[in-house]
Amino acid sequence: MMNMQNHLEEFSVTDVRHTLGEVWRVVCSRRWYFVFPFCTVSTIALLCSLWVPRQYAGSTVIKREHDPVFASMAGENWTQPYNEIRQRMNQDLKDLSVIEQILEDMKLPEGLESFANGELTPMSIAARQAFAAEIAAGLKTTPLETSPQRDVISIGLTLSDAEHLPDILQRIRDRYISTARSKTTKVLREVEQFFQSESDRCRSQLAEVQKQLLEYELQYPGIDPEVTDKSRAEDAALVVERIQLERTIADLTEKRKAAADKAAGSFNASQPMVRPEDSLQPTGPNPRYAEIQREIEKVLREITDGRTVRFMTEQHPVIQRLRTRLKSLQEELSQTPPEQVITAKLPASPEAAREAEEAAARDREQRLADADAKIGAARGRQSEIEAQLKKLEEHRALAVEHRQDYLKVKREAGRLENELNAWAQNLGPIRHVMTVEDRDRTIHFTMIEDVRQVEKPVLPSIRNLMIICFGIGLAVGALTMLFVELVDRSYRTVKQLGTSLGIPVIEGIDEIVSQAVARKRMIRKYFLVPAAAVAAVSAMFLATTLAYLSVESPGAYEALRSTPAHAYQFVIGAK
Amino acid sequence: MGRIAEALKKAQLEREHQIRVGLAESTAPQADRVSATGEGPEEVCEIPSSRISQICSGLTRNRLTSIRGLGSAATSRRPAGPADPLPPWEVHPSLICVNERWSSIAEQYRAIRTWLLRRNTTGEHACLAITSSVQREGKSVTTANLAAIMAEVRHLNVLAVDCDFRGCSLSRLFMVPNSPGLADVLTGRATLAETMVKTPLGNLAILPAGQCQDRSPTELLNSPMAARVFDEIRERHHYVLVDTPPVQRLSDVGVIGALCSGILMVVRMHRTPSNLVRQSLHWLQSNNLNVVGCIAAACSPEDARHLYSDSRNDDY
Repeated sequence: MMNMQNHLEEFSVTDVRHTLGEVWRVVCSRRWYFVFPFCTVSTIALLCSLWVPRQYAGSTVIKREHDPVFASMAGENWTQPYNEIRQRMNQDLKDLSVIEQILEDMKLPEGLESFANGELTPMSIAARQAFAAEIAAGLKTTPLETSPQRDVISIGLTLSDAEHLPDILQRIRDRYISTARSKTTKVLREVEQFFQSESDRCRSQLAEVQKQLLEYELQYPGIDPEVTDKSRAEDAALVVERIQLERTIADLTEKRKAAADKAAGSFNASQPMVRPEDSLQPTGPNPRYAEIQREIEKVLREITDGRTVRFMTEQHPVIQRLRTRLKSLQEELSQTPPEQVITAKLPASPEAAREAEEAAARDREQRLADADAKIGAARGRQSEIEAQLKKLEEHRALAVEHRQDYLKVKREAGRLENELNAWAQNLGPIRHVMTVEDRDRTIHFTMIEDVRQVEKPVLPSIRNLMIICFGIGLAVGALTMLFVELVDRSYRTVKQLGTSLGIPVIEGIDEIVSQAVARKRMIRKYFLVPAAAVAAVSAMFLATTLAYLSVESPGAYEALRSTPAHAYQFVIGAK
Repeated sequence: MGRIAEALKKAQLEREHQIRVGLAESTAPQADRVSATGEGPEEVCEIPSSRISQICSGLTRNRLTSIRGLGSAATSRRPAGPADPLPPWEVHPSLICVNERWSSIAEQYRAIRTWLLRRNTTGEHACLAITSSVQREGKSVTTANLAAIMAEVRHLNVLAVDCDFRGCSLSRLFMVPNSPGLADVLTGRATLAETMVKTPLGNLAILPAGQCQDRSPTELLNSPMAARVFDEIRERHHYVLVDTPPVQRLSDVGVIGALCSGILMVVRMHRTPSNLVRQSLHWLQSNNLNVVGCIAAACSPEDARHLYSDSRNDDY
């Protein structure tokens, strides 16, 4: 076992040694295939890095805190706007429209072409939009401290334009602060607007429904079962009047008959002369009767007002009292004669009596005529009342027919009224909060660190730049070396030749070269190739220096670039 | 140490003796010698194998001495004056085994020679085709250098044959005219004796490619004449090293390999794609050709040391 392990170890060591030897052989024999590509590619990469756009970074730190008074007053749920502001910070900062507006204020990018009327050309608009997009992409927020009511945030901007970077960042920050401050107001205004719009909608719908209700009520009086029907009072009055008219007609008919009989009896001498008190005596209207009628009308009017204007039901005590009063008045009216006898002294002499008799006869005739007229008027009035009552009955029947529709509309009106009341109740607190907000008690921003002027680019970093450039060079050099080694399928060692062919390798003969060739090779080996290597390394060193200065000291690099003489002085000075 | 120094001294004396013998033989025309005696190979075959091993061991020690010095240090140990018997010979600078005989690279070629000689203990005549997967891997330079280093063993008759009718690199390396050559022999326009080029090293001859003119190289190599020519030159030489076209480009090597006793593959390190090498080797083996080994060309010194330490570490 031990022997086997030793064998394996020996084999392993031999294998590793062989591999290392092969690697070393390749490195030694192909070293220039590595060195020159490495130097060349690294130099090219370093020189190309000079044209890589530099990215400069600026930052500012702000503290954002929610107003505790505002939060506590508005209630627990009123942290929503603050949370929303916190969540939407990146979107608010990177709002392209806002950034474009800032760029427009700053007239950036510089040198944009515009038309005669001052409007930008489409190409300029596209350039500005591209610049805004670059700014938006370079904006980054980093929360340094976070709590439910307070944040400390670092706003960073990475941009290729070092000159305008601080100003742009400052404007974006200020615009964000103003936007965030108005954010709660905006939310509230949106809510208020929503409530108001809903309220308006309900109001308009309610007006429409009420209009329908009014139309129903006008078209079909008494359609609302909960409201006293005015036509009922009219109906009752008409019925009462009809009864009175019937009674009056009956009385008048009876009196006329009596008067006509009396008149016929007076022309008959056999008949004794009756006293005026016993016959048709002169009568006049009964004032009490008229007074009771006025009282009845007054009571009916009060009942109507109570049911319609004050929305009293029949069970309301006032209405019941008025009904009782109406009933007693109607009973009294029925017992009160509409006219009363007027008492007068009779003349004593015969002429006077004859004259009085003639006068009485004329008077009777007149009274008969009047009675006939009254009876006719009463009958006419009775027929009118009958027509009115019939009409009222027809209206009532129609109202009953449309009552279900009316009630449906009325329920809708009630629902809308309730909804309208709810919106109105919500609007109150919002207006209260907005009043508070208008006094600047919302979100507070405090500047902790202002934007500073940037001098050195952050991208590309010199470390990454060197790693990438030299990495590319190393990779290309190594790949070139490996590629040449792989492509070269010739035999490198005699041992390899013998192993490959399977025939004995008699001898390895060194290369026979002439003196001229040997001289050329020597010159190439000891002069040309080292000189080329030194040149390549020098070029790489120069490119490295330029790349380093362009990142770490842009001012010095620009000075060197603008005046090559400075470069010489710099090199001399550096030496 | 004393034994090693003694052996080295003995090997050096043996080599000088061999060179002297070679110079004496080189005074006579090589073609005449080959054609007249026709027994050279038999004489060489009579050399005892122990003798060859002794020579090889001496050469190996020389190589080790040189490799230990590495490069210029090895060259600085080059024996001066009479110890360097090679007469003035203008060849291409790539022929390092002629120009810098004591360099480390020459020692590496000597190692190849040693490997070949040790493999051929019976002393048979060998005909080796040297090929590669693609062009410019160093097969012609390897052929030329290997021929030169083989010819250092004076009792061995070595012939370098250029069968790459399109490249004709061997004649450029040895700086000899390309024509007349093997193509002319195969077409019957010339004889072997007319086409073989002698070198200052008496036991090394070169057979250039020649001009195919209107015949295609494949047609020439597939002709019965080619087999007869190869049989003849193999009879006359102990070692025939044939430079061939690359495997991936032409199929000539298949024909040439069939005429030879073995194939050596040259693989240029750090350049030739391994898949092509494997593909070429597979193609050769699928044609029943005897690939005896491969030579890693253009190695770095570290690779050479690696192989050296791997293969010969146990000797020390």
